[in-house]
Amino acid sequence: MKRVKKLSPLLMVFFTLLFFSRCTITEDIQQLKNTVDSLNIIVSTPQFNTMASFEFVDAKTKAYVTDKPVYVTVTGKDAVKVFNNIGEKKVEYQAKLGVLDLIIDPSQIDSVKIQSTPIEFEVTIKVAGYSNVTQKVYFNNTKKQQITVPLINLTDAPTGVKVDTKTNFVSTGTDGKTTQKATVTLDAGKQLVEIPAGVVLKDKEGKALTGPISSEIVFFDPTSPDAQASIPGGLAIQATMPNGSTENIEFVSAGMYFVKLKSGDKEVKTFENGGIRLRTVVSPTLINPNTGNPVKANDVIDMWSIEEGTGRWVYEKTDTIRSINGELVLEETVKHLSGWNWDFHYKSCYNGPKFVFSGHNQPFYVDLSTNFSTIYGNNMTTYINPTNTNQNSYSNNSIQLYNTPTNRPANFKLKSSSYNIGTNLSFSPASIDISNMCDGKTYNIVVTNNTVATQVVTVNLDISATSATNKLLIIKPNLPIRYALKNTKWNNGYLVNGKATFPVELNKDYVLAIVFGNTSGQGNLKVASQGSNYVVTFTPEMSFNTNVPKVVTFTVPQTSTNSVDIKYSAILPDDILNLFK
Amino acid sequence: MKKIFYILTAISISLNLIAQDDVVGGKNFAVAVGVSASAFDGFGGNVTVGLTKSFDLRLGYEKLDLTIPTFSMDQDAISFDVSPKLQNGGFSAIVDWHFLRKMYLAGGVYFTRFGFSADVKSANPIKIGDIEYSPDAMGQLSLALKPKNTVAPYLALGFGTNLTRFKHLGFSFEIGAYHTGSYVIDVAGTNFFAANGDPTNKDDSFKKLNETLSGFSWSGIVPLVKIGISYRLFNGLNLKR
Repeated sequence: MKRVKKLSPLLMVFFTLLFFSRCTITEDIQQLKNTVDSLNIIVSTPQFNTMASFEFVDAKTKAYVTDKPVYVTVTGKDAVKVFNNIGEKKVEYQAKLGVLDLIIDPSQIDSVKIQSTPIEFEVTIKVAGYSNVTQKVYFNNTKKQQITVPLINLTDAPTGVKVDTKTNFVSTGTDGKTTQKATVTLDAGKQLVEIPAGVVLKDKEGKALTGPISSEIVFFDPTSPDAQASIPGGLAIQATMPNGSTENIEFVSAGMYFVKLKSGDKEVKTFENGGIRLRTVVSPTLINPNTGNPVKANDVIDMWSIEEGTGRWVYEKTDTIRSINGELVLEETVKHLSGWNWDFHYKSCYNGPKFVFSGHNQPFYVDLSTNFSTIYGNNMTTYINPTNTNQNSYSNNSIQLYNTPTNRPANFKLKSSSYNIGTNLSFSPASIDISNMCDGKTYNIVVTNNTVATQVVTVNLDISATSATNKLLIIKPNLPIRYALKNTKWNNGYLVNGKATFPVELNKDYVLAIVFGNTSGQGNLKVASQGSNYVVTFTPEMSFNTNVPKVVTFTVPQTSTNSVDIKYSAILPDDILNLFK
Repeated sequence: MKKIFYILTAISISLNLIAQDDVVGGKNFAVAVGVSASAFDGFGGNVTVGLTKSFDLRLGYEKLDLTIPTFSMDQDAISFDVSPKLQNGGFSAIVDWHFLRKMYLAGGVYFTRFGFSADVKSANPIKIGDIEYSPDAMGQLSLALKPKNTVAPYLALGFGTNLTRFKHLGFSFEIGAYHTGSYVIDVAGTNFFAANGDPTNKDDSFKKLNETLSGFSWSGIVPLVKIGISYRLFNGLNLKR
């Protein structure tokens, strides 16, 4: 008790303080409520792993087709599963900035089943003044794909692509019969398309078409690599074989025609009382893959047709190469349109050679060229991220080729792409001979960085979007982002929860672009070095905003990581923001 | 540093008071085991050792895992299911000073597992564009109220005893609190809400919230009301308090 008495003054002080201290709980709760009310909630847009990113380029100039609307329709077995990159289903999609991303609804993907039953659909691309293209798309895994579609400008076609267009190719009478013979010749008469008098031209409903008939005839020279690389849908294709089965095969073309005849907006699909005659001179230098020797008279070759929008070639018949007046000639009268092709073929397998890169820990581009046509053409530029071994990601440490021909040798050459900013790379081996492209082998490539001095800065981009009326809800996009040195090819990246990292060269002008649905955001970007600082100039520009873009400039100290952080929040109109909600 | 300060202060006060009391151990030595039930801290057990005539050392562990029934909340025409959970308890090392026969002051440290969390998830599938997402596909937002310090000083006023010297069975009632420094609110998420957990995204509004919380005098105080029953196993000498 004595001790209690000793402590009693201390206890009195304690209890006095306790009982007479000001109670602030009410004010505190109000302050807390105000703070909570101003909390930001972040919602990310859905992440789509299974995505086809299309780039639409002029087959001759390789420039993106941006000056005219590019319309894309999706058809085929799994078309119902296909949406744009914000999950919208459209009858017709429109590319922006020369690109379009189509995704597969994640809830409709079985990651195991997809390996044995790929998701398949076709896209048909229509651009005024360009030849229509139908491209088959396969997914046998959940990985993203990048597909470049060359479009043939009918007035400025690539070398080896012969084009003839006529507004009045032939006329038909009231009975639908052609009133006279009409002929088109290409390449000084080496190709001929002829329709005799008296042939009835019918549309897809079987109705005879009358009046003037316009024509669009495109021929792809089999001896021209540029022309072969421009063939719509490529030469690694899916075909209905003579026995009715479906196989993936690789064409070796001896001559391909795309013929389109129209009366107004009605297309000719079939002929009655005759057909249309196709003829081509075959180059004696063309190798017959069945014999391994140059083609000669009496060699047999299959003829195939494709219906626009189907993406599938169908065996029609077998023809014989004839010798006429010292020239090797193929000739056939066909009774439906639109694509016709004389081809030898190889069978192909889905998974072709795989190239795995190591030795350089920074992302880079590699040019892979080969002496056969892949589904990407003869040359492909691929973005490699060596530290990423996730084969499902947009970019990783490998290139996997698909639909390559069975039992066919090929040579692949690798070189550093011109898109490697400030980096000089070499590859070992730089040339690979493969005896059979379906042997399932993986080829390891060691990358060496020979760069002497680097002037490259890593940009850490952080993008978000809010509404002008509710800035507390922050949208973080999961979308493809493209970036490029001004007036060059887009490089693909992917915003994950609004963030992406990519390299830029100092003092160079770059363009960034994000396309979401029918809307796009662009930005000019330049990082300059000034003393011990970086000066960043960023000019964001949204497609829906007609105001003059505001230039944002800021200075940050240079760091050992040679990186700059750019954080940008776009204020979107509610109608656009609601697309994400 | 604050943690160390609290612990050292508690230890030095205890030692100072103990030093004024009788000799530690020997005839004063006694041991009891007990169980406790506590509002906010759950159920647990303890071992109490009589150090001196007036001072006992109590080592205990209590645990509370309370799942509060899920309720609905509407926001912007979207219905959310909110599933709160309360977790508390932890190890404690407490010195009971029996300054009166039936009253004691308890002081020590708590190694707390205090945490209050709520998982927020859409109650219904939602269509974005033309694709429908199930609540599981959208993921959830998780909010958590946590202590700034998990090692916290404890002070309480007790009635009864956790170690009786007369009989075998002892009863106690204790009211007090431990102080974790401050409450800290954290947020995390999955799928559509995953970006909320990114530390670089929390710089602004959540930093402000935690600054506000840490500014409150009561922030970090976890109140406790506890009853206990103990059974004395051993008594060196039945000393009367």
